[in-house]
Amino acid sequence: MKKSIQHMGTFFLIATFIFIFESCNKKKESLKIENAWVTESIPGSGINAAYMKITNLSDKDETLLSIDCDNFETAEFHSMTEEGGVMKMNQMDSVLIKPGAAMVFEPGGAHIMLLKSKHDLKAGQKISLNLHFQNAGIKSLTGDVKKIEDEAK
Amino acid sequence: MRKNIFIILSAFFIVTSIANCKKEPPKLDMFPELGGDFTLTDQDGKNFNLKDLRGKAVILFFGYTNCPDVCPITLAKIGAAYKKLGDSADGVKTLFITLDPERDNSQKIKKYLSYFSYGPIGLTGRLEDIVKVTGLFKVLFVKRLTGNTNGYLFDHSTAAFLIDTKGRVRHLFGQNDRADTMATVIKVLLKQG
Repeated sequence: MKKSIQHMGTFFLIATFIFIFESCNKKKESLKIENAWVTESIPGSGINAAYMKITNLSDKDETLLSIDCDNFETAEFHSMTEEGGVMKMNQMDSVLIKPGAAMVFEPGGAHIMLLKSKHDLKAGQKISLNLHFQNAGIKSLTGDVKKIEDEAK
Repeated sequence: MRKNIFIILSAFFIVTSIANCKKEPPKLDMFPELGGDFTLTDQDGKNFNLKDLRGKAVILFFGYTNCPDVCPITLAKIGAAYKKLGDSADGVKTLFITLDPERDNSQKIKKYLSYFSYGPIGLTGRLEDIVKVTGLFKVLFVKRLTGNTNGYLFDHSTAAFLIDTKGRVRHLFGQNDRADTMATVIKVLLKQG
């Protein structure tokens, strides 16, 4: 009986060590970026939009400073406001995300405008984007190119 | 026996609740202050008059090809509504009128609209002619310089107008209307003729 209690104690001790070790080893992610996608190029437009959801998992304010993508000359953040049936698009220099909050770029709402494309994008392709954050630094991700017609509901 | 009555009553209650939950079909209205015939140039460089589409239901929408978000989404949503309409989509035509005739000539609009499989008609013209048409539909648009490589953009009304077979505005679709709502309203209009 005494022996088995001793065994159990050892077991828990080892388990605790493993747990602590794993916790230290696993760097806590401060950001979660989901559902990144870019619109397929519409001929003659030269402008694409990127959408995604960015959640700030840290306990500090985070700011998205800029986005760059090899295929485009520039990228801008735009917010949309409706005033009396008129949609107003306003450029945002940067995007502040409060701790625990999420910034959602979505069709018909705030979006990332990608300007002056070098090559037309086709649905099914993948495109890499670099997001520059004030605290988290550069986060690189891959977004799917999708037909806007398939995403319109 | 009592138990049976209880079951029947419960079933009746559930059925009526479901029926009540079902949304009222959207109603069509008259907007005598909106609309009217006009002539502009289509994507093939030909004169186009709204009268040419008498007998068809028409969705009319103002935008511009350099619009990054709202215009392509609206055009895509109309496309999704066409799919939901199936065969009856033959009775519907969509007009896309540019607010940016400076950059959107017939050729550019043709190229742009070729992307949308349901064959919307693109219209351009002299700025003063377009301003007249926006006046008919009480559409507001403001050109705004952006200082980026795109040069300028427009703040603009996003309503899409549903016009009946006699050329009268009967419904306004807003930015938040989904494709299935659009299809339902269009079906009601097509039934009425």
